[in-house]
Amino acid sequence: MNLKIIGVGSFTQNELSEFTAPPQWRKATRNMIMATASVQRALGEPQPQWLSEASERVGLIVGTNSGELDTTTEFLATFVKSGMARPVLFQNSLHNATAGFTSIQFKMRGPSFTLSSGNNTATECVTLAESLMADGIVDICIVICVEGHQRVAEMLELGLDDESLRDGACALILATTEACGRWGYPDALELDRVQACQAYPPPKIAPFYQIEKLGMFRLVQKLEAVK
Amino acid sequence: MTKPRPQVGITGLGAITCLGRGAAALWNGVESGRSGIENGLGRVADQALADLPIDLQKNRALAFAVATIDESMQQAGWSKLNPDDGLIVATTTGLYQKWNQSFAQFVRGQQRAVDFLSDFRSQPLGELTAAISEHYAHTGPVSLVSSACSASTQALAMASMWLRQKRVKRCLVVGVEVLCDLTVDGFKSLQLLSENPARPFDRERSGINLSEGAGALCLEAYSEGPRPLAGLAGYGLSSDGFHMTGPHPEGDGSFRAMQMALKTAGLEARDIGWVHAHGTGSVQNDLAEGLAVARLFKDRLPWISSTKWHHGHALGAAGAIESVLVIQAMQRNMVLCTQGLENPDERIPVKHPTSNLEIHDLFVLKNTLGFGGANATVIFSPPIAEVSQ
Repeated sequence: MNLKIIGVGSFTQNELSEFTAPPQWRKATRNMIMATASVQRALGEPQPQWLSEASERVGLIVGTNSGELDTTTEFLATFVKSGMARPVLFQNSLHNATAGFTSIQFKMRGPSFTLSSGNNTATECVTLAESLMADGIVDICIVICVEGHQRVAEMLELGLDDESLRDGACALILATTEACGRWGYPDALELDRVQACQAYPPPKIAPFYQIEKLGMFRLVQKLEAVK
Repeated sequence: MTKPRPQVGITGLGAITCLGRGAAALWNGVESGRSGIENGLGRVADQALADLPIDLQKNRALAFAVATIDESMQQAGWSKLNPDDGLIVATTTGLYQKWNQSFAQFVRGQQRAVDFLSDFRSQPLGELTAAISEHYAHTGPVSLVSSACSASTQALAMASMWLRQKRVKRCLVVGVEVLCDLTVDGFKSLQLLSENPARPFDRERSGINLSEGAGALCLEAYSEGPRPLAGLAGYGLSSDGFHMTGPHPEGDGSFRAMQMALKTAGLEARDIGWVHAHGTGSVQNDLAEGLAVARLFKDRLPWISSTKWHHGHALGAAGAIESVLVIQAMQRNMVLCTQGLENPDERIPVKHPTSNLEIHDLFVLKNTLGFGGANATVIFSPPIAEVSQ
């Protein structure tokens, strides 16, 4: 199946300090902010019609190795030190909390998956998007890869300047050829599957996967530069 | 009218739960009316793993996986995992047990960062998949789904896609979950736990029982493998887009997932004889799910039940464990009742069996609703290729 790209967006750690999140994101974790902001950029303004008119036919796939690691460790550290389990921290600590948050922000009603497949996370995300389209379940799929582990890296004093520890997210919006015709994307690029599915390199410092070295992330940034 | 023939069959089952080791232990425990829940939790007894190598016993998640995979592969007649076989793992906590104690010691200043980092390498969920692949020398396609309570059901849907789209020749799905302080304390903080065995759909229900364990299913294309135990006829997937932990109050997302499952299976609502519910015993879940079932089936309500009173809620492994149980029930032409249900919640207009029922040629809809609003449904069909009305 030939997948078309109808939107790209990325968000790097360096942007977090300057980014002004909307009020409804006040309880969002770093991962949620990065992932959702990436999607927001990929969707553009105004948001496309298919998001509101056909949301059941839009899939969401989040690929992450860190998951909500920062929130998990904050929850555990708080519990260890004070004996107090904070419910907001817990609900945000689940691996699929990022997908849940993003789907709520955009009122998404189609299938939502969270995958965590090591080096091959990006491949599995794209393959799943293809499979869902081939099965006729969705026409459009938002694929996000996100890694967030700064808090743990700080705790371990690993050196925040090390580029291998940087957090970030990228979003690719993929569509079938038919959906491109229906929703007005006549010039949509075909997905470079080879680059999009490039594996993560082995972490320089395990277990921290380097999002900026991910093929999909680089592809998204390249396409953003010419948007 | 002849119902369509499913293209994917289940040929092997494996399970380990608080009711014991093996699919048969799960079945026998449920059929005999036993609950494995103690003090509100469902723990797998250490003795259940005693015959495994010591190293394996120390890695509880991997031990659960291996015990159930071995059992399911033996039943399916698979001597090993080939390069053209797929492996899909479902979990929410993975190898968490390998690093959480170390983390607590590090936070208390009782362990050096370098020593904690060594244990922390097990943190990514994909490490569990890597450990399973290494154990079985598997080099084929692998994926790990972590969509909370819907993870295993989503994994079954993915396996169906992989087989029908010929990505793999056979596919192993395994859902694994180990009880840990993160989830127990976390659910306590959300006030969702019950200290007594859960009472799904009861008007006095007061919460869920977290449990641990694993369920494994071997899947094959219908025409390729041996006569299956059951068919995987269809699946449905949706999001609520509503709330991080609570379901849509009218179960809108679950309704759409079930509706999609019927469509992909080529079935109508009246073809379903039994809905094996997610039925956690939480006030919100059971209400939302029940309303969704009532809305979908209208005046053709099938029986609906939950078996979580017996085995608890194993989060990412729930869909797999309960599918193993459902298929065993189908083999015995049986619909299981809901233990713990004494006074059905009158706000939920569904049909509960008051005892186990004998019903032949069952098509069963298995539901899960996950945190983050991820809903997944699968439909199992009888092993006979076509059932005539």
